[in-house]
Amino acid sequence: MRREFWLGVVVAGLGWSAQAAPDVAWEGRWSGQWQNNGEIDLTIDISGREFSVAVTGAPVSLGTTEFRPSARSGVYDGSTEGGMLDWLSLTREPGPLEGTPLIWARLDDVGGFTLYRFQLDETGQFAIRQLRLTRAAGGALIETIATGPSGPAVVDRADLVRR
Amino acid sequence: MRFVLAFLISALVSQGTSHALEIDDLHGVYLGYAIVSDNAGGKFKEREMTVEIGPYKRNGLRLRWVSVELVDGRRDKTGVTYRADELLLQPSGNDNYFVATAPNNPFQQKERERPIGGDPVRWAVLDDAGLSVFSFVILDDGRFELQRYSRLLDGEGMTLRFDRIVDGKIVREITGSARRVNQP
Repeated sequence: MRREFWLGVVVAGLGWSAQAAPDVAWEGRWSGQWQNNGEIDLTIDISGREFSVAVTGAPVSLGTTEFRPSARSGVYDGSTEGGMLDWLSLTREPGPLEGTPLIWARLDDVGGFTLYRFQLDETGQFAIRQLRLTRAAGGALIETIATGPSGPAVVDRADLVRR
Repeated sequence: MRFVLAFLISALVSQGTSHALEIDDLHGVYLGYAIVSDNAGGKFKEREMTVEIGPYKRNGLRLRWVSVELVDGRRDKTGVTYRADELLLQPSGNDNYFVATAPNNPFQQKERERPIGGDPVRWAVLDDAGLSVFSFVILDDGRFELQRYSRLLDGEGMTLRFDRIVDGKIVREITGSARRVNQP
């Protein structure tokens, strides 16, 4: 009985730690220059196990998007109002098959994280956009990867420095 | 399982490409052969497949498929893999856009699918060339996987194309061909 109790405590503890938000070192404001699309400004706020990301500057301007832990370790559910949805000028709908973008984030195992958006339009054409953030010497690197009918391609990248 | 799902591939048919394809044109049984290429490792495998396309309710499609992964080019050897599955598609409101649906079960409460929890998002698009079927899923670690199976008309048959994209990289491709067969 005692053994089972402590086993439960350990498992619960592992579950909690696995749901941690991005490293607090990410928190704050970052800026840089896209290789092809001008300036980028990125703001990350971390509050407990939740976090929010705001990106401005072409080719993406995402407003503020909030992410909350999902039932899966290291996977976060994106906000369903404001942020990326505002950017797309879409109203709240039930799911991707009804036209609502699916927004989520994942933490990677090297201290970075990726934001995702998956969307189907009214003709069934799909668009997937990734914003991948990794730590780099002196700052960070952000890459945008687009996957569409012609396949995946890196759209742009920028070196970020903390402001 | 997800992989096989993709094998519900395409449909085909049509007596040519000069007219817009109708869903009735797709109905039939198709037998084909394909080469599977895994980009990580450069391995090749051979598959035989059967695709059956029929009507589902009004303006919908029922796809059943079987794929047999061969060993040394044969299906009577140890290690052969057999997979079979079915997908029901109903119009989304746009004539060329279909979404996956579950069979009616009056004794079961319908639950909304949750892609963030790993439920697949499946749909299909019909165009003048044929039918392309898609399956999107968020994997356990948060990466995404997209499977796409489409076909190009090729005279009396079709060319099949499949790719599996994981987190922005193509990890598997399949090319093949199939022919509609007579049903006595």
